[in-house]
Amino acid sequence: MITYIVRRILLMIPTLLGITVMVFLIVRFAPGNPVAAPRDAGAISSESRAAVEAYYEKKLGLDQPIWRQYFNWWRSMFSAEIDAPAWTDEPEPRPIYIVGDATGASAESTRTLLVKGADGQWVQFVAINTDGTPQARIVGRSRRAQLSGTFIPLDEQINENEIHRYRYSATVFAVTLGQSQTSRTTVMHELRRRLPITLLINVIALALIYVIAIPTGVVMAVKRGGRFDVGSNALMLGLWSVPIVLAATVFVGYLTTGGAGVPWFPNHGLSSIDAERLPFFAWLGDRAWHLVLPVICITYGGFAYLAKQMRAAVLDNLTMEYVRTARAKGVSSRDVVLHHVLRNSVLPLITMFATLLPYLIGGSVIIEKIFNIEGMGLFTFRAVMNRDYDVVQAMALIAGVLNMTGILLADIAYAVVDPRIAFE
Amino acid sequence: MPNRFTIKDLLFLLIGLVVCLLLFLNMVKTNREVEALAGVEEALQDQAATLQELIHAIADPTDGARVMFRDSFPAVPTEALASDITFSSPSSAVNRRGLDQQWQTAPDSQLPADFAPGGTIIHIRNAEPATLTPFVARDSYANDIHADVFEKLCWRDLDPPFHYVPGLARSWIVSDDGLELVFHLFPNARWSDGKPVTADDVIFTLDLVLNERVDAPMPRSLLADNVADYAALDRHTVRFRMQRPYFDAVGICGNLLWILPRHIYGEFEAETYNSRIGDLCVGSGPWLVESWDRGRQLVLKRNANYWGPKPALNKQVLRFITGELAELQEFWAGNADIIGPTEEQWIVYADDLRLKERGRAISYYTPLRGYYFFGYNLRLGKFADKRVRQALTMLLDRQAMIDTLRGGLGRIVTGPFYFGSDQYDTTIEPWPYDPDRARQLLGEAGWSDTNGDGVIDNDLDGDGAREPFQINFLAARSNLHERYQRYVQAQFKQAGIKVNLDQLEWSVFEQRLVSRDFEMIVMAWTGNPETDAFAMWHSSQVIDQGSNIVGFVNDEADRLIEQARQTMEYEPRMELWRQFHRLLHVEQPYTFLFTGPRLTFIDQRFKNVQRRSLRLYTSEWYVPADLQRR
Repeated sequence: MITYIVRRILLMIPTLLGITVMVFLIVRFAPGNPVAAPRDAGAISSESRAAVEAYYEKKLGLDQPIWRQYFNWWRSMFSAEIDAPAWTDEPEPRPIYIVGDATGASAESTRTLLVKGADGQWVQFVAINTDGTPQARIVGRSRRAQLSGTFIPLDEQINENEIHRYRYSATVFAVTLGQSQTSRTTVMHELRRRLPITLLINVIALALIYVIAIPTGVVMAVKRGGRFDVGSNALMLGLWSVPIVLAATVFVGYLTTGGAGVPWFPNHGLSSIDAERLPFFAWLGDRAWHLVLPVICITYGGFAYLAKQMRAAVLDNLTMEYVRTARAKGVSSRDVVLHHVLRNSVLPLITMFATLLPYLIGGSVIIEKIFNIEGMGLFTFRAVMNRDYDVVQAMALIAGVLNMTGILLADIAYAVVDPRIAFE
Repeated sequence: MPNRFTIKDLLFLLIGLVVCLLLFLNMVKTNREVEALAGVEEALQDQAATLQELIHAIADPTDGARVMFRDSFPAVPTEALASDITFSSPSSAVNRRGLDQQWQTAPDSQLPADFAPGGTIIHIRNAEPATLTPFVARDSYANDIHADVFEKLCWRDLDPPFHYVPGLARSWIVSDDGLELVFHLFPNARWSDGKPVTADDVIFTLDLVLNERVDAPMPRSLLADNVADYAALDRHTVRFRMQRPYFDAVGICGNLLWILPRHIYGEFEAETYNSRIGDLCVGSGPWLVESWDRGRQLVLKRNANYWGPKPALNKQVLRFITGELAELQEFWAGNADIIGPTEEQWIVYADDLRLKERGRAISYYTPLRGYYFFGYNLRLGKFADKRVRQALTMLLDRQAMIDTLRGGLGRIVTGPFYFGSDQYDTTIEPWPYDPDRARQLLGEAGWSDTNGDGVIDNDLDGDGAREPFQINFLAARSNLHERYQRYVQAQFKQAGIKVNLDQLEWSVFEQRLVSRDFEMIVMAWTGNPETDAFAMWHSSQVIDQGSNIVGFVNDEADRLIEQARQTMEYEPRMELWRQFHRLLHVEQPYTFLFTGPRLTFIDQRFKNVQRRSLRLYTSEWYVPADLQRR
């Protein structure tokens, strides 16, 4: 089993490389280019346009050969320039403070001073040159660092406790997944902000789908042909055939404040404007109130498919020999279904879960767009529209990784659930 | 049997219950704490508001004094340069600053009875700025904030004819040949930290933008194309030399850049400057960035040390909410004071009683809004004849398009200029909707249906074979564009012209424009108070991806544009632009369609809301004391 998993993970590496190449090429050869987005839309003379385009092409590295761009992408996914505190979580990054008499250090001085930077990394000042330029290195993960800022000459009187501001720049190893040109942060930074939002909605929705669909499917199978079976079948198929776009638009149009119908639900976002100042329970209520419509939109379509799968699997198993044996030896009908049949029927659901994993994190573009929820889906959508290469590539890559992980997890889960399956 | 309930099970159950209970109690406790905190916060806000009122009461007399000083403009040094063409009179400066200046300088008796300083205005923005660093930021969201936080050497007047009025510069002089400009700064201008604004800061700003490492290619290319050099003559005087005479030299030198304080921005390396997001927004304007809660809101507060006349309002909150429906909802709920409704919302609600209770609806035509047009690729034989283009325009009932496709919101325009400006020749009558005359013109140009298939044809290349009149009509994807396209398709069909529709997303559409790979397009240009026709209409801009997309080449037009661009005097230049306008009207390289109004819903608490032509000017608004938001 362990060797199987290891082999699978090792196999993922070449697959992953293939995915990156494919994603990269598809994005590069798609029509449109990212230079159009930053340029202003107004009229522009051809000289200015040429200058501006050349600038952006150079800045985005589009003037380089394509294989070079591919490697640049890899590099930008795993390195960060930390002279820019753009990737701290704070809107206003803390400056680096040098406390004490560091500015008074002379050329011979080799005293060591540790300073904590905006990104939480420690900078170590090892020496300061006579011309005033300091040398510094970052202790920890960084590879190179420079300190910028003016040093006060030795003869100037300064208060010992005065605080001076300095900045440094360095390229360090960090999983940034690339730079977003439109939001001017790293993809990782945006992920950290948006992933919880998307996860919240989708985890609730998924849990609901499974909690409702599994029992329904079982009951439908047990009472096959009965009124419940036919009725719920029809209802679920009906729901399944309503497109999410339509349902969401109708909900927003008729069930929300500001719409044409009844103002029962809010029409955008995941919380009210001043929600974080609300007491805990009021906040929870507010959040739940905002979640109702989006979650309904995501779940209703899932019931039909999952419940029908469940029904088919249970029906399959009910005709098996072991069920008859169990019945024959006097096990109650209820126990047969709950203990024997159910366990054997969840296999197809596991397969389904594997395909749902990327969807969980990728988010639903439609729902997030219509309800204006700033999650992953909306972020990806905007990136595609603006040709924000790094973001599109990163999101496609993440989807690929999740897909592979999902399939692997499903295979492992098979082995756990079904003792007949063994990967040896 | 393993299923017996044992002591162990009981213990586990108990522990589980206790944990749940503790968790619940903890939640209750947190809840109480937050409630208590909210109470404290409210009390604090009350106190802060009281303090603010006190500060206002104390500060107001000095405001008046400062404004009085601004009112009396020091004499312009006459010995410096010969003529003084664009110098703005002090009276127009008062105009720009609007009534707030009059109030603050005026004796109390002249103020409206309910005038009171203070109050908050809440705006809704559909997205937040990517960065607040000036010049690096390119979106309009950042631009709006910069207009409050920073100042330029001069501004455009808010009403026609949009002359330049003093900003940081109290006056300026343009030499006769238009090659040299001297700006005199207000000696009392101050940064928000109280340090004086000097010529050195202006030079610093120019250096910064021209630095190749700074991420500001747009203003850099404009400066580099026009300005030869610049220098500080003394502490409060800056001189620019232009590479060639240019009619909007004052705009390039004085109205292009926000002036930045050297003592703050000078500390940064270019790379750092480019990548900082929230904290590099410090200027000399009447507002300060107080806080930016990313993804939620940005708060501007009144600059208590502002050197000029201060706005009456105390705070501006910009809430970031996406979605037009959401925006309207927040307005109804009282969570937003000013919103820009969509055209559909305007049509439904502008006369609605609900709105009348809540506030008022203001619509105005600004030159910034620009105009819609259908462009024809003149490189193609079928569009080369101006009679054909005139005919195509006359096949379209533009007023009907406004009434049915745009809910009546719009005004027909006949040329590329703002209809309220002196550039625009108001005597030009729009081409009438006249399908008969259009068909006649098409016939004169050689188009007729010879084979009876319902599509007119013509032998354009002279090879004896007649080609049918078919147009591929391209648009960037939007509902409005699609409505226009369908209308055109139906109208042109009546005259025997077949139109194929195609919609592309913007970035692909844009590429097609650049490669000139289109036949007919629908698009809109944004406008300016005085539009320079060069980029869109000069023959030199046909090649190399210039903005002369349709490929309009006309010697007379070139001559008029070149001459107008070099003419520094206002009236003669306007006459040249009007001539150019008349020429374009006859040539019809575009079918000029219409311009749309800017729409606003404003909460009724705000008084003295004036309808301005350039943009609404919140600094002249006030809220009576009893209506102010806490």
